[in-house]
Amino acid sequence: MLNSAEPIVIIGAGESGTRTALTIRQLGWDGPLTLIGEENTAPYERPPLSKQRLSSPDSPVATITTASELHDRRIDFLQGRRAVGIDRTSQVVSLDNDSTLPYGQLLIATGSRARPLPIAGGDHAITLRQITDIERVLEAVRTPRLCVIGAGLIGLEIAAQAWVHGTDVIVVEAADEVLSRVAPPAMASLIRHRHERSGVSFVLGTQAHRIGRHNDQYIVTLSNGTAIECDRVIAAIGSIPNCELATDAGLLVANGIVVDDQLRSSDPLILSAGDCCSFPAAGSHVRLEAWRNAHDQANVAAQNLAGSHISYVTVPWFWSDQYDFSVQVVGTPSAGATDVERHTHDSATFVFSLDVDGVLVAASGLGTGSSAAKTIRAAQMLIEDRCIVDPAALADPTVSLRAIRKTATT
Amino acid sequence: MADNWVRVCETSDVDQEDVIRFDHAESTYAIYRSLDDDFYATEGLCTHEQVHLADGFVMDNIIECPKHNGRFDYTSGAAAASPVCVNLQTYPVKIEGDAVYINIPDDDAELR
Repeated sequence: MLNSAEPIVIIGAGESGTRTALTIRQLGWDGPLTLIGEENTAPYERPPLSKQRLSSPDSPVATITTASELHDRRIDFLQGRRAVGIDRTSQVVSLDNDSTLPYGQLLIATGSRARPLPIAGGDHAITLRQITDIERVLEAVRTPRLCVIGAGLIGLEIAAQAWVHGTDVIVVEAADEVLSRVAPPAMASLIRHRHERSGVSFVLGTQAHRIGRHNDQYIVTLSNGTAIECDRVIAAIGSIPNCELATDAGLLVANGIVVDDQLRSSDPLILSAGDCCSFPAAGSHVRLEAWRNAHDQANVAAQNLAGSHISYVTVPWFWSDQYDFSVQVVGTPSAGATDVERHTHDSATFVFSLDVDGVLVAASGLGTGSSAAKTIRAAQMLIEDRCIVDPAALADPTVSLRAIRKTATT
Repeated sequence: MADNWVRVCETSDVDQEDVIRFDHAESTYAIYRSLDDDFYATEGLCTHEQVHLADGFVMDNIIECPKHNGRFDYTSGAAAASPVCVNLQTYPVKIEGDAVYINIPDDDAELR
């Protein structure tokens, strides 16, 4: 284990930063440990913000940990403090109160922020990223007419929650189908149909061009000339990694802080984890915006900060809750993949993607509650092991993926 | 506390290395069958975010939550991997013939 006298500083108290701090202590590393969080609250989980938090505003915030637990574990939690600079030569982080913190090793886990809508009047659109955004989003999903720009996961989760409040929702998406970045077409259209049955309207293949305001109403003008009148506009068009500190410090940055398989940046004393880092996967570098990735990278970052040399290997996985169903997606579809569908008696639907060699590379499942989870978890194991799988077995709902796994070849 | 054995299901209702949900008296439970054909029972919801563990994945003596992959040892109820940190309540199980029973204390529904 590394010299415990050298302080570890973590910038960012979201899932990755906080989980790293807690795990470092679980590993028995007992040196000085500081967690810097710019939000003025104890570390909390973000996924519920676009889900149950919008339908049950009074539900308690899902905290990752408490200030007292951090204190008990001798983690110096600087709540409401922002890191403003990193001096790599003297190994110090400067803070927004003009103080400095020396580090032996540093973790940058600054996450990402909502991408602003780059059109005229785009600042009229509300975005959702953190707990302080909730009041404005809650007010928006309870207006009579809501326009959501962006049919990704966050946009669709917000649309589903607005439906709970009886709001008329129209979703504008530049791509020709919803969820085009994350789900295969068959799964995406199934999810869109579920929204349409609830009365949500979609304008696909169309960009928002301009947002105008008249009194307390908005007019969203689309690239096809159509104008949508509404009471609020929410933009959910992805996120931008918070890399400014890394860029200013001269670290390699390319759509995220570039790290190696051990999550080390171009400066080996500085690691990065979560939404802000771009890590090697499947022959290139990727950046994921997912709770699971943030959580799992934290476990690897903690071990490596404590002196190990562990690689982060992952098959991307995420979930989304909308209405009474949950969708889970695992893996990365490859070009030329063949999709196989499975429909179960309890009306769960799965789409499996096989590459040209017949290797399972991605799977998505949609079902009531978490009913698709077991099959997707087994699919993840098949994907991890790069198994060649019989398409007929995948399509047959009476054959469990656990059984397929027992007979699969690699 | 008096025993309160409740019939859950047939042994054949649970696959090896799998878990099913059992609802009783406004509480929900998870019933496990190990690779060695031993049966176990725990409370039904994950202690992290109240998700039904019966939708989760069983590996050896571990149940993995279907939402956040938190893990418990279902034979002891012990929390085994983050984000879970609170242990599961476990319940005694007995097999009579082909039937599976769990012992639920009378006041358990009020605790849950």
